[in-house]
Amino acid sequence: MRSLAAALRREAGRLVRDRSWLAFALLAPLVAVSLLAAIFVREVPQELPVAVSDLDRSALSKKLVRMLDESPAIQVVRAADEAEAERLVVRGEAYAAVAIPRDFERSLKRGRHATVICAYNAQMMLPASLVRRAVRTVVGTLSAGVELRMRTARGATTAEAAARFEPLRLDVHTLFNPHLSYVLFLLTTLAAAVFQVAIVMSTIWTTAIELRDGTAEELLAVAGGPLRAVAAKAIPAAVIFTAGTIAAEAVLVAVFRLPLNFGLPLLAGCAAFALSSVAAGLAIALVTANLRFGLTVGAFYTGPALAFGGITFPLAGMTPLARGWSALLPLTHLIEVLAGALRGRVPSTPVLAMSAIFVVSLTAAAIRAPRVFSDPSFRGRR
Amino acid sequence: MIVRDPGAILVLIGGVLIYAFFYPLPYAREVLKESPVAVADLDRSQSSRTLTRMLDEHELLSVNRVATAAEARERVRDGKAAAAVVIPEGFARSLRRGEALQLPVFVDTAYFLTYRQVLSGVSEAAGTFSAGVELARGGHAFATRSGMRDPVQLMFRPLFNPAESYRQYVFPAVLVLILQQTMLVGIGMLHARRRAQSLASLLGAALVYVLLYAIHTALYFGLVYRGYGFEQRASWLAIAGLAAAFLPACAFLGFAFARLLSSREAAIPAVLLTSLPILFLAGFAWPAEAIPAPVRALGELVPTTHACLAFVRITITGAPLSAVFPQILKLVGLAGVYAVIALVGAPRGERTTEGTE
Repeated sequence: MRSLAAALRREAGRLVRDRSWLAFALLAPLVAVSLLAAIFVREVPQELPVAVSDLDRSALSKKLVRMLDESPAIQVVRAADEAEAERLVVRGEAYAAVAIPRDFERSLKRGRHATVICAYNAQMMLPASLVRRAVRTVVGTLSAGVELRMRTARGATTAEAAARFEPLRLDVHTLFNPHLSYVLFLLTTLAAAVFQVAIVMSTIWTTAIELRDGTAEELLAVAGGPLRAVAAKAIPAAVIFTAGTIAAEAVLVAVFRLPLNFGLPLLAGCAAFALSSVAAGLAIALVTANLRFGLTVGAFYTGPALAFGGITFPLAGMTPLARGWSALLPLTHLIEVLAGALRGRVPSTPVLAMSAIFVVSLTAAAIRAPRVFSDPSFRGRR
Repeated sequence: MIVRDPGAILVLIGGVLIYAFFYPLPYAREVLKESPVAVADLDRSQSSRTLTRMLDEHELLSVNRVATAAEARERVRDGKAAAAVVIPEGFARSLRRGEALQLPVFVDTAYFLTYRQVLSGVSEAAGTFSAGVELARGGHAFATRSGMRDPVQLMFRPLFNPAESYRQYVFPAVLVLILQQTMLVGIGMLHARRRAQSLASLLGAALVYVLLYAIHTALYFGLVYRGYGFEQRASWLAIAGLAAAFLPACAFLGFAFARLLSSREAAIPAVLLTSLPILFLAGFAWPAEAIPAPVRALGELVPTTHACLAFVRITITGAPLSAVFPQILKLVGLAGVYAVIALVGAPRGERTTEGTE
């Protein structure tokens, strides 16, 4: 029977029997996102190795070393001297080298400054910044303690001694997720990046494989027309991936108790993402009209998508060329929706952008479909 | 075999070159600067205007002046500003009276790098302003009155990426990932559902890929590194030594993996879907210390988990090859394991390399 319903039934039958599709569309994304969640589950890195060389060996310097080790972020690795400490950093066995100078305690007892030097591996930006913050906190605490004792020793009252004079201090309020560790929010965007790959690649697969295997004629016959054939490919994918994206993000938000407002704007964003990704996959499959080449183009489109998505390096910092390419990726816009959901205000432009991607892609697919499905020269090409 | 297959050439040669140019495009500017900050100057004094100007002049910040604190926070909520700074009324008066002042700063945390840069910029600008005030009051900018203020000083010295280039942070390790993933796709496409007949034929086939990728490795650590301005401190002997362990591990993994593939085209999505977890298991974007032990163990099965940081250490950090001996040993071990898996008895439905496609 020639109809869309028949074509849909045929497609459904094909999908459940296609183990590759089941792997790409369902199993692999599930495994990948679960793995990513497991990777980030500890939220804040702790016990990062820091090499410490204590050239003073006084009560105060030993106290500093102990305080560093007690800091949850740091695990102290003792080094004989500065050179050895830096060697450990070079070898990758420590993220930073802290050097306590020879006259540390004596200088401070005499009312002079003492300087602790922290050489950090700036190549490892994230662990280094965590280590720096921890070292700053520990040294600051030690310094305040030393200062307090010195002032009270000089006869200042405790209150006067405790009042530190600094004209301008920052009163920093982190907005939107004060208790949340950042990586858990990042996880929602990484999951989206995984889905970007899965949706586009599996849609290219299920569409272009009919060309490789020479079954396009049958598809056309059952559907009764090229546009209905395209619809038969689009609709199951659209339904499955819209539901899947929403479900996965909802699970992440629930499990990690993310302060994301899962209301209509976020739902609309997820749906627009899934639909525009399916449409993009269809367009790639039908424009390339070749399974292997289509998948290669799909890999180029979705592989580096996370880098272009603007969550790691922001869009504002990209060149116009990179920003332009970013705009072509549904992922970029879903990330804007997710960030907006975090702030409690989802902008409307991302959904519009994804709708544009959807319309343009579907149009391209519809234009190519008649020729690609009926022309025998597109069949069996490897 | 490779030469006759345009699809394989596209991945094994084209892909390696194209991704080296394409992937780092978002990071072309390397460092994030001029992040928008909404400043509400409720004092409108000389001092507050000076502070605002100092914020704007900082290279990491770009000031948008707004009228009220509410408006400033709205801009952050809308994603138009990375932070809101509110200079309170009575700012100049408090300064004149010698009182300590609090400056409210509201920072957006949705984008980590932006958050980091904005906080850095505002801290530095405020610090400069603070020092200026102290100087004007006749004190010392870094108060050395009997060493009473901040007796224990802390000095930071950045090693290896002093400019804090995000591109240099991420991309050298990603290059290693590209080598592995493209090789897996290439071998997968040409050897899907096939098993090598003998150890000799497996070694022969693997050698071809190892040699091809030895050239890519030289290109990457030579030309590409230089093109992006990454320091390359390793001797070619050291790079060869590490590559001699890494490339065969990738190749044998490719042959083992190819046996699982349903068809040659499946190689592309299959490998691509593993890329993100593998990237975060490699230890540069997220420290290995933070990954739970069972997940880390899984990651140890992947060559890049050992190789990414190993290559970064010997090239950018200048570590000696001895520093990465543990990684080399693990890679050799993986090569052996995967070679065995690639050769082990043929399940039904599998074709051997003697069969025709």
